[in-house]
Amino acid sequence: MSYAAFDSWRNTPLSTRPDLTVVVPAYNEERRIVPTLASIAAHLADRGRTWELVVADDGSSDGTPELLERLDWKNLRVVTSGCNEGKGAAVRRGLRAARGRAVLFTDADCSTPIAELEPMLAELDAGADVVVGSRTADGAATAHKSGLRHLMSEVLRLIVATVLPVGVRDSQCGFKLFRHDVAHALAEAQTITGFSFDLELLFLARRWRLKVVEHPVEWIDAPGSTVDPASESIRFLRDIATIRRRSLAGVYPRTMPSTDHGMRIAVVTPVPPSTTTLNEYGTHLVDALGSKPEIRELLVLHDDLPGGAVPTTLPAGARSVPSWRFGSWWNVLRIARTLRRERPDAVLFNLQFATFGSGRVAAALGLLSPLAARLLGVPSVVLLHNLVDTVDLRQAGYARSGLLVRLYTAVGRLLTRLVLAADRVAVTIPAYVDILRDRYGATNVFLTPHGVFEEATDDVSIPDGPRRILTFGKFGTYKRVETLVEAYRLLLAAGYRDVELVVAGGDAATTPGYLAGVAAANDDLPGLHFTGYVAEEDIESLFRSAAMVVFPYTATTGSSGPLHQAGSYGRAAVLPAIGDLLELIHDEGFAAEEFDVDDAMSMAGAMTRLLEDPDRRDAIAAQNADAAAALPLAEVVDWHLVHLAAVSSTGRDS
Amino acid sequence: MSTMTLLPRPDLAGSAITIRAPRRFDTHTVDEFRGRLDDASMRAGERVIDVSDVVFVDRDAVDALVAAGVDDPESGLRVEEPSLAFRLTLEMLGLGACRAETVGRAA
Repeated sequence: MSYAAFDSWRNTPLSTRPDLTVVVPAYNEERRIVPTLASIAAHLADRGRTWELVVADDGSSDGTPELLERLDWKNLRVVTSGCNEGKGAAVRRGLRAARGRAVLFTDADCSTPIAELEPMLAELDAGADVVVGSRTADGAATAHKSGLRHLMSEVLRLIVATVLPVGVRDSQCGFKLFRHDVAHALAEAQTITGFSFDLELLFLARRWRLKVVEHPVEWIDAPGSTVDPASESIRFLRDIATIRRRSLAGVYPRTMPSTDHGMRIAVVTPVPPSTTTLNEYGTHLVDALGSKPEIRELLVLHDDLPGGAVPTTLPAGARSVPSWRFGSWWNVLRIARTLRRERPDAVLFNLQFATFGSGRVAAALGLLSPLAARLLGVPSVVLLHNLVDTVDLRQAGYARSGLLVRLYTAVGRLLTRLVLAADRVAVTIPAYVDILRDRYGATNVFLTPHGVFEEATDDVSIPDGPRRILTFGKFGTYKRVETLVEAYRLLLAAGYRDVELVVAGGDAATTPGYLAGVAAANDDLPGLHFTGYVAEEDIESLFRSAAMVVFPYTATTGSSGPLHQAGSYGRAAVLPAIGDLLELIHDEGFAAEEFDVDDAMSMAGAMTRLLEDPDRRDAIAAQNADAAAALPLAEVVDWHLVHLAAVSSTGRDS
Repeated sequence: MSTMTLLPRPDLAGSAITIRAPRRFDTHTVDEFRGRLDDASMRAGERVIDVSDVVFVDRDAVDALVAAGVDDPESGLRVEEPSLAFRLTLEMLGLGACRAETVGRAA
């Protein structure tokens, strides 16, 4: 653990909402609180999350507030009422002051080691609303607890279980973790100001049907407690009766009141390390949404990752919720179950027609998810990246015979109608808006730009050395490299020696082994490289190493992420003359050298024009960089937020 | 729960005896630690307290260290490889001698 990390935390006030708030109630803790704060700070110093400390002083008279003041830690706040009201009142004050997405309260004696926080945070990430440290759950360990105190605890536990069951065995352990909105709602509803406030919090959590998880912890009795066990036990019994009475009198809200401003948004999308299509768009979309103050909590409903892995690219505070699996027929049910459990204010689906599977059944069933959201009453916006109406199914490799083309087109249109059951549907190409309005009679469709992921550059220079021709994507269906390789052969035959061809990316899900076959068939070709999967952190250097980016598409299924990346990195593009792509180019201000679809000679000609005319290449690259600079995804998501806010407050419009 | 592993072991580089402080160095573990320290003091040579694993150190433990002379250069006792929790606790308690001469090696 690093002293430098602690020093930075101590001296630099947080400018953003922290990931975690640790609340420590304190009453005359001058002797005990220093080791506790040191232990907490040492543990949290460099764990990669932002955090703040709130000491809730309960009117100490021994110099505790002054001691804390002298520490001068920029991310430590002391909240006090100036008088001794009880531990419950102090914790309530601390919870109300907490700004973190997760809120822990822990006793000032550090009787539960702060390291116990880590598995409890994992429980919170997995969907718990409250995680209760427990000295009695299986796996817990207690030490130095006196026989009398143990006996009293057992008796009180038995009484609670009989008279006021709260769903956990140990209600009184001073180590509890809450989701931010839950902490605030509980603090607002809490009435007990003494030692038994925990019981009331757990009673409320049960009443509000929150997910409370009991987690076994280590607990070591720390001498010096200011609590008198005998008198507190009597007060505890009295408080049980008080809670019962107040419950019957209707003092407590029946459901959890909303205390936070901002939306809880769920996003259904693949994110890396998943290699499912739209994964990269998904990660940048989530990243952009995560920075928006309008969003209080971001739930990422991503596909299952190998070994139960958690996405590595989620923004701070976003919650990972594995909710579907590529290729499964049951995704609609799993997503519906997740939405029913999480009840977000609205859900955004990041979809194209093959998002949920390469098999037709899995893909089709998954597309029923927006309809399921509607049936559950969860407002929804779908960002739809392609339309079956504009895809050449035969060229794209989805159907071989005319009959199948007609059948899949009919099914695709039916699915489109079902996707339109969402409250609103966003598409990235103006023609799509027209199609959905004209052919489907949709009135809930709007246009939103695709957006670019990276900050655009104005540097269009290319590196020294061989001029690199780059293609990037998932290949084998409508993105095929045979024609590109043939065009590259033509360049070599024409005498170009300072060029090389880089095929970056992997196979499409439906064509495993495709690129390996192409590589084997062309292993005689100098300067031909296959990179395989490209990690997110290597994408910039890949694009910047290229003199041009070629798109060997035989059809398109909507906007092209790589085209926007080419713009971001100031690269010239070579594109087939396909309606969708050309329309996108013109609408969004991109430029490209064009070639006839699937024509190696035409493609080689387009590449030659850029190789021979660096000024033209640079002009196209500069125009693409300008177009990219105008459309950062971080701004595009503002459009989505407007619609998410609208549907979450008004329900389905039109 | 935390346990103490305080067996004195000779430092291979010289005559120093290293005593490892428990992870949770508190009122429950300090007496046993004090006993180990006394045992070590029977032998000649420097005594080194290894506090690299300490995640919590309470005032009783700090008092015991001070009473043993950890902040006295003449005592033949020094603290080695302080953990961050140990270092922060001593800093906050204003034990400047420990901080400057023996605790400052925490990264």
